[in-house]
Parts: sequence; C-alpha cells; structure tokens
Amino acid sequence: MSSLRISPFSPFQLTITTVSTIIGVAILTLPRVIAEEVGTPDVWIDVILGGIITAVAAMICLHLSNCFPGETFYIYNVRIVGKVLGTLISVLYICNFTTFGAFEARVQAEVVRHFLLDETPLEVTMLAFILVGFYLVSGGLNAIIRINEFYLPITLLIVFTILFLNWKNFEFDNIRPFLENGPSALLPGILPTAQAFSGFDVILFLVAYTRNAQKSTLPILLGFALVTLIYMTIVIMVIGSLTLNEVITLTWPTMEFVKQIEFPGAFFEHFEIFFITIWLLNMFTTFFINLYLASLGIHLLIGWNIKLVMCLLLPVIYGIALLPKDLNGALELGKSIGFFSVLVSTLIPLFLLLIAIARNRPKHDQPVNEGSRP
Amino acid sequence: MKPYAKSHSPELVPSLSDNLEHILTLLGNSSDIVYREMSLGETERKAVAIYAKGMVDQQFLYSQVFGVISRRFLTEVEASPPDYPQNLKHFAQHASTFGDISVVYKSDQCVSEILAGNTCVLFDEYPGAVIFGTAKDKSRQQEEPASEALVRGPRIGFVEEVNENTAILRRRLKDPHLTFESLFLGRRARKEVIICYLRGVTNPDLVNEVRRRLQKIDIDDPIESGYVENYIQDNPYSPFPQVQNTERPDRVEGALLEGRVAILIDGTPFSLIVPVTFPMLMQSPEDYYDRWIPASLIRMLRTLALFFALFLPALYVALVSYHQGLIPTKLAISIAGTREGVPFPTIVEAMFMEITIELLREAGLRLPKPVGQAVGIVGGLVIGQSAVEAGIVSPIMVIVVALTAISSFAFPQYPAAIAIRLLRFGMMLAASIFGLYGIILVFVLITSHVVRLKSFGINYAAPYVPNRVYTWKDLFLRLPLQTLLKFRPAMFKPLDRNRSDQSK
Repeated sequence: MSSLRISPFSPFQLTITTVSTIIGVAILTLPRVIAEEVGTPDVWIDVILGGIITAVAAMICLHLSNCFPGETFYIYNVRIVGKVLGTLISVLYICNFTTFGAFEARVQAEVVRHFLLDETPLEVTMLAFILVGFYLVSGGLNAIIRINEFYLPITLLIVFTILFLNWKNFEFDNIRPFLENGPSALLPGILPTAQAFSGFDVILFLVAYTRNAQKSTLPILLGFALVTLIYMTIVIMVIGSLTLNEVITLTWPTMEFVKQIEFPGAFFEHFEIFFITIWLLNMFTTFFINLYLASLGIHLLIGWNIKLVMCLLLPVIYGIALLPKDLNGALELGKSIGFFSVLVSTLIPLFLLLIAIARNRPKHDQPVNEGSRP
Repeated sequence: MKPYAKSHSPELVPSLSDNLEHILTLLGNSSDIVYREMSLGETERKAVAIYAKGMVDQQFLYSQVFGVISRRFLTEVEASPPDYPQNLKHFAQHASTFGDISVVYKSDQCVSEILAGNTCVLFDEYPGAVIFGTAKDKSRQQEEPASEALVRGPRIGFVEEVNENTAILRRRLKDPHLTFESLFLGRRARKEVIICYLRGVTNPDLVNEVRRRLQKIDIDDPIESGYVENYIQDNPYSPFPQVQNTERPDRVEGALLEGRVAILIDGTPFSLIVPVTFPMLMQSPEDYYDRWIPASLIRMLRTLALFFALFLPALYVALVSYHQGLIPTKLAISIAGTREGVPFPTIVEAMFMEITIELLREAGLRLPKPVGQAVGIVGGLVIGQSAVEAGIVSPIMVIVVALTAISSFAFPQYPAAIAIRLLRFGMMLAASIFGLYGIILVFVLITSHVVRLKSFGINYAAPYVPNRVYTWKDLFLRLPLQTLLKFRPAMFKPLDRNRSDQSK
C-alpha cells in the first residue's frame, strides 16, 4: 500500500464518513418507498425503528472490528471463519460495494437527466461522474475522509434550509392519525427504511485506521441519531405538506416538496434544481467510499497496486451502471442491492461476532497462521 | 563554491605578488574592483587593499582603514621585524579598534568578502589577508507596501536588504526565542536566505523540513522570493499558492507567533511564510486590528466574494443556456429581450467579456499609475457601453462580469485571487457543456484537489477541514481576540500551545 498510505483518523471523522456514506439518493425517494409499504401517515415511526435497528447493527460491526484492533475486515474475517469462507465473504462485500457504486452512478445520471439535462445522454453524465470520482479516490482514504468533512456542513445547511423554507406548507393534520391500523401495520415499512440506512458497514473497514477506536461508540450513535433525525424530519415534512396520497404517486416526493418553496422576493424559481445540484455532492461521497473499499478489497486479496485496481474497476462499474434499461429498472436494482446490502451487513457481522466469541478469542489475540497483516 | 573551483590552490602563500595574481584571476578584470597599493611606513614592505567600488563606505575606508594601516601599523607591527606574521595576526585580532576585522587564509574567502563589500588587505610575506568590514548599508526608506495596503495598521514594509529586515522583526518582537538561521542560496549569487522562527514554539519538524527543502534548491541565482517559492512548494502543478508571500512585518510577526516559519531572502522585500492554507489566504491582518463584529462581517463578505468570483459567470451561463426555468419569469423575459440582438451563444459572450476585463486589468497593471487609471476608465466604460450598444453582449452580462471582477478585487491576497480567476474559466466552460451539473462536477474536482493538497504537511483546507468547532471561531467569523488568543492553532503542532495565562 506504499503509494497510498493511510494515516489514522479520529472517531469523529469515522462518524462523519459513515454518515456521509449513508446519506445518498435514498432521501429523494424515502417518503414514497415507505408510504407504499405502510399506507398510513405515521410512517415516520418506521424511520425511528429503522434507525434503531441499523444502529444496533452498526454497534455489532463496531464491536466486531474492535475485537481485531488495527485489522480491516478483509483481513480478520479469514481469521474467524478460515481462508475459503473468509475470501468468499470478502468477495461478497467487494461485489456489494461495486454494484452499490454503480447504482449510485446510475441514479445520479437519472436524476440529472430528469431535473437538469434532459437531452444529454446518460452514458456521458455517468462517465463524467465516474471519472471525477476517480480523481478523488486515487488520492486515498484520507482524502475521502476530508472531503466528507468538507461536504457534510453544506449538506446540513441545505437540509435545514429546505425544511425551514417549507415550514408554512406543513399541515399537522396530514400526518395524523397515529397508529391507525395498530403497531403491527408498521412492520412492513421497517425493511425499506433500513435500506435507506445501508452503507453503515463501512465501519467494518474503517475502524482499523481509527485512533482510539474503542471510543467510537458514542460518536457513531450520535451520527445515527443525526441521520435518523434528518430522515424523520424529511418524511414528516414531506407527508405533512404533500399528503400521503400524493406522495405515493410521486417518483421523487422530496423533490416535489422542495419545489413548493417560494422565495419572498421570487429571485429563484424552482429551488429544487439548486437543491438537487448540491445534493449530487452526497451521491459523490457515497460513490467515493464504495469505489475505494471495493478497490481496497481486491488489493488486499490479490495484492495488485490499488490505483491499478481502481482503474480496472472503473469500466466494470460503468458497465454495471449501464445495465438497467430505464429509471424503474435502476430503482429496482437499487431495491435489490439495498435488500442484499442490509442482509449482508447485519447478518454476516452478527454471525462472525458470535463465532469469534464462541471461539473465545475476541480480544488482543495472537494471530493464527492463515491470516497476516499486509 | 563550485564556480571558483577551477582555481589551483585556494591557500594563500607568503608572497604578495602571487596572492594578488591569484585573486586577480578569480575576480577577472572587473572595472569596479579597486586595487590600492600602499607602502608600509619606512620599510620596503608593501600592502594591497582590494575592494569593490560603490559597495564600500568610502569615508570609513579612507579615514579609518587606510589611516590605520599606514600609521598604527608602523608602531605596532613593524616594531619587532622578526615576529612580523604573528604581530600582524595579533594586530588584526586584538589590537585594532575595529569592530569587524578578521584574518582569512583562503583566496576564495577573500573573493567572497570583497564581493560582499568588505575590504581585503594583502601584505608582503604574509600567507593571509586581513578583512575589514567596510560594507555599506544601502537600504531604501521603509515605506508602506503598495501590494498590501491597510486602513489601519503599521505603515512599514520590508526592504531589499535582508539584514535590515531581520532588524525590523527584532525591533517588533523582542523575544530571545526569535531565531534567525542563515544559509546561502545560488551557485553564483550566494544570496543570504534566513529561516525565521520562534524557538520553543515552532515545531522543530517544520523547521527541519523548511531547512531541508531550502538546502535542496540548486539554482545559480534566486533572483526573487518567487524562485524559492517555486522550489519549495509541495505541488508545482496546482493552481493554488502553497506558500504565502508578504511585505508586511506585522503579518510575519503574527505568523511567527502562531508557530509558523518565515523565510527572508536578500534582495527582495517579499518574505515567504509556510505553511499556508486557503482559508488563511482569505484573511487580512486588519481582521485582527478591527473590532470583532465588523471584522466578522467583512469575513462573511469575503466568503460571498469568493462565491461570486468563482461561480457567478458560470451560473449565468448555465442558467441562460440550460435552465431558463430557474430564472423568475419576469427576469427571464427581460434577459431574453436584452439578448435578442446578441448573435453569440452565452458562453462566447461571457468569454469575450471576461477576457476583455482580464486584458484591461493586465494592461492597467503594467502601465504607469496615471496612465493605468485612464486605461481602466476608458476600457471599462467605453468597451462596456459600446459593446452593449453594438449588440455584441447583453447589459446583464456586463453586470455579471463587473460584479465578478469587483469580487476578485476584494481578495486580501493577490495569489489567491489569481487561482480563483483561473478556475473561473474552467467553471464557465463546464457550465457551457453540462449546465449546473458541470458546475458541480468542477466544484467536486476543485474540492478534491484542495483536500488532497498539503502545504508543508498541513491540509490545504484547514481549518475548515478537518473540522473542529473551536477552529471555526476564526474562520467565517472572527470572534473577540480574548477567546482566540488563548491557544495557538493546533494544526501547526506548536511545542507551546498556550498564548496567555488565561489558558491555564
């Protein structure tokens, strides 16, 4: 890893990176996705539940990584389940990151075509996106972490701006009644919400490079609280100002929500265009880390130079991103990736942690023969 | 001393004519070098004084040096002829009343002393030379630097003489820990370069890194501080300046107290400060002299200026060519009305006006002041007005370009403004191809570059990134000094973080 040395970062930076990875395209469709599943206006409770469940999963990831200080998931999974199964799990994760990156590239291209450039072909915008992303990622993990820190204040600013400016469109009646069909009716909404939180599994890979990783618990939980708060407020506000029935019919309900904003002086019309332009930054941050972690995995498995791996991954990602035929195809792809990702990132760490504990060698352990650090 | 390496033996010999001939070959037959032969008292012995005309203090040379050699030398050296060489050395080291006198035994040392303005005296039968410190201090009046004018602040700037500059700093900062470290740069020019820092405050690793990079420089003559800057910067291909330059001693003083390192170079009033980050280049010393509320407002104004200077023409191009829907209907109609007669696409129009204004700025800069102003007025008014009337550009374009230009003048430091000017053109081109999407792509590229860039190990976006809430007190806002001056900024890793007793 000589060309891209990783210098350790703080738990705070780990949290920012996790938050930036989680926040991506999901926010644009989230209100519709859960409204479709649940059908009542109290879906925001699902968001809280989803947040709690994924936070627990994130804690499992954190705890598992802390059992192997200084080792990234690609290395230590071999030590838990052996070479064959461990490599298989690594490949699974690499595929996950690659397709997730491709999905991000595709969806941003769809968004760009829908809102910004209706005549520019998808292939061109996706290519530009991937190449720009590659420029940063070739700067290594620390550059990715710094750019997440760079963009997060901008993201928070824009989120709170749209919420504030939409305040007068909000109707409290639209989000009532609570628990109309009983608590059990909320259950189908949990899985799609949890998908909106996918991406937290970067913790597995980044804890290895975190200073005082033992102290990451509180920052990570606060990070999840922040994401949950953003998702919840967006869902409440979108349903509260557009009504549930309308939300279900809209592909991009959040965009319609932003569209309602009217500036007093009317200097800007169509504020949603500015919103989506800035929101592209969040799609970039998700793409960066996915591309990086996929390359890191291949680099650690095969030992090729990581920059070479990145270059070779670009056409693969581009190819996968070209696969879906249209917007619906892309969103379907996203749905299955999200489902897969949630399963993988909750169940695998849980099993690995259980095995590690069962073998009774979780902490500060002598390395066994099969795994070694690079 | 590579250029002089051709000489045979560098050691001086006990023969005046040999030594003289040797030094003569080293110096060549320059018309400004004076060889003054003297007889020593009653004896047959001779002495030759060599100096560079114009560089020595002639008054001092004639009245003191020559007087002493011809008069006191008689009584003190010639009194006991057998011990002549010892006496000469003793005389030079102890008996004379000169403050700055020394004996050297190598011809190349003689030459460099002569070229520094000192007088070298060779004696018969003596294998050495006595050097009298006769160099003339010739510094100009210290005046306020034109490139960094302030409303409030000391009216003093560095001068071309490096020793004068160290004196200015020493006078302002009477701290025994203020350290000047001298080294010589340039194979031919041997310019004195001084590394300046606060011992016990500045991180020694930083000082070592600066010294290492300076020593690695291999050029014949660092004519201006820009040469040194080009050799020590981290990334020569970046549009952003990674070394700060300033003519203001107060700025250097502030930097030293923060735990940074200054580099003074002989022959130029511009000193360099490392490390520097982009947010620092958006600050002016005056921010700290004003009260905190106006200073904070001015900081925010500058952030707005940065936004305008980088994005405004690109946004105009993007909105007019791709996203007309975003412009309020009435405004859109009026823009469309004014653009009716304009035969070019928006990007051509914008490029035309931007290049014109850059030309005007460049022309005004190089001309003498009164003419420059006239060019500015003629260019700005006449070209702007008639271009609109001729239907080449729309009036709104002129407003956009003017606002952009004004914004880039609002940058407190010139190198930062140049970087942004450059990037603005890339932004405009991207906007003409991809609209708003192009703008955000270029923004991601620029920010990617900035987060990858480092200046002497410090992240170029610091203190914005890495974010720490307490460093933001002095970023978009400038909170009261009492809250800021407790600690030195942690990003420079100073040895002593406390600036006052409040922090304990």
